[in-house]
Amino acid sequence: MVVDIEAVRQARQGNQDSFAQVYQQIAEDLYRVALYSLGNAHDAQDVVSETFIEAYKGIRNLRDENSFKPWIMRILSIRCKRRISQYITGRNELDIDDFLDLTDDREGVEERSSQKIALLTALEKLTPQERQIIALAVVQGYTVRETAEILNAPQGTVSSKLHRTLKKLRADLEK
Amino acid sequence: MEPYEEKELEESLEWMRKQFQVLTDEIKIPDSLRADILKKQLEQMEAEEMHKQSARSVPSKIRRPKIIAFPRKTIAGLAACAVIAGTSLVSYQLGRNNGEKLAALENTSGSPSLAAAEDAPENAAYDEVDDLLIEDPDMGTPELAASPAPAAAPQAEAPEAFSGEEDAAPRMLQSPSEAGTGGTETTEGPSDSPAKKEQAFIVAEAKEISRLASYLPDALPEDLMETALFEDQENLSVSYLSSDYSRQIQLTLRDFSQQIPVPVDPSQPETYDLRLYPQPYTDSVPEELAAQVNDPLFRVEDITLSLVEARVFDPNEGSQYRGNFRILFSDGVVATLNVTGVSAEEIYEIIEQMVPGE
Repeated sequence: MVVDIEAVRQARQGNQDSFAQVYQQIAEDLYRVALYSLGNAHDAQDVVSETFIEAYKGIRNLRDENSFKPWIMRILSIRCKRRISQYITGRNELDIDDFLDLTDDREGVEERSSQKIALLTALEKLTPQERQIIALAVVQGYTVRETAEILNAPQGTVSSKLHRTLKKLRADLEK
Repeated sequence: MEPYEEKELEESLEWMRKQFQVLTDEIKIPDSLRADILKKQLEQMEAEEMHKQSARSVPSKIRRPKIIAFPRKTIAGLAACAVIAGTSLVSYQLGRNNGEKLAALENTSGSPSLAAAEDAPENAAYDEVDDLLIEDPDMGTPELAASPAPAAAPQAEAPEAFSGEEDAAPRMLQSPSEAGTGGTETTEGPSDSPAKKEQAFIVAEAKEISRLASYLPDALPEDLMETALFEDQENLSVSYLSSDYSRQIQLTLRDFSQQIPVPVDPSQPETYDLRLYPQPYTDSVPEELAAQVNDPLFRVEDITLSLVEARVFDPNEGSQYRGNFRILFSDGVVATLNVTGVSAEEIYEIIEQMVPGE
């Protein structure tokens, strides 16, 4: 979703309503990345609300309003990394219910459900870091360069990691 | 990456994006993350902070008992998220064990305790390393790439005075909030050792999301290592220590924007120059000046090398540099420095690093 630059400008000046407006424009993106990265809605909600507060406190430091989206995504990525580091067992399992709309009763629901289950099963085999890259590059559509900037990692490393992860996923899904 | 590999990656991405569409379309943001609900939490947090600050300004006669704790209140289930964000966000304990020992060191007269020297900082405690480095070695050591996206404190235009040499006229430091916009580039770590790179990476991350941390110096004398970094809502404290414990800088940053303290007048050296007194910190200082001489606060624009030399010096010419002072930045942040074994020139260079853009 496109972010309103004027609202970002006003948010930088301390306008809470403008900040809330800008956040609302990007909230779904933030939640999706957090959910894919962490695998469960509870932790995803925590890190998104932490990101909201940190972004509000730090928005005065944002130099370029056009960079708001990658900037806040970077805050989210750092928060996700910290949360992942707290997982004692290097948790990979996903809470599948958090990804599915269980009230879906439209035509073709069974076929969609089996496709979703296949995707989630394949995702579960990835590490949280790999899922984070998938969330940014695949789900959110960031380029390799943008993904590397958000994760503060070398572009070459992100590129090769993404390449390997996609290969792994595709092999699983095409089985 | 070769062109054919790039093409292969693009095709893979396209294919995968179509697969994920069915899953992603169904992910709906929960009500707890609606902007109006989070905004209410923010307002409650700010109200609590204002309440705490007004409680602090209550006259001493009716001062309430001091409670030293991290705020742990919970406002419904969602407030746990706000508390986590609002309280100590940094578990940057690069040396948890050394942190306790360092606290013991600080309680002594200043000489490092032999007992505390059990664990050298280099063994210590880079226990907690960023997961990008440990769990996924393929990612390699992240470079501190220049990035236009992440936020940073507004950076000062480099004043001409910072040529690295002392001019005849005293050099003045510029407060970051007085400056125009500048670059957001982060700098490389101070040395090539993995430990230093890890430090630099974690400090760089902190700078991007913490206003107080944006004042942390990027470059330090080679032998000084950051041994602890601790932040709560009001303070950010960092300790820099040499491996033999002979050199130490304790840096604390605190936001006093609600009640800005009064700085000393640099034209009155009797209020801060330790060299004027045969025995500073004792009876040789007149009583009416003691509070200022013991703990002077300088405006950042008044800081010069000469002024730092007045506060950090070696009284016996050959023993050890010691000193302390505070710096007031124009946005109300106060940096407190306590120094052992580090020269005035080194301290001045560190202060230059604390001004973004230098």
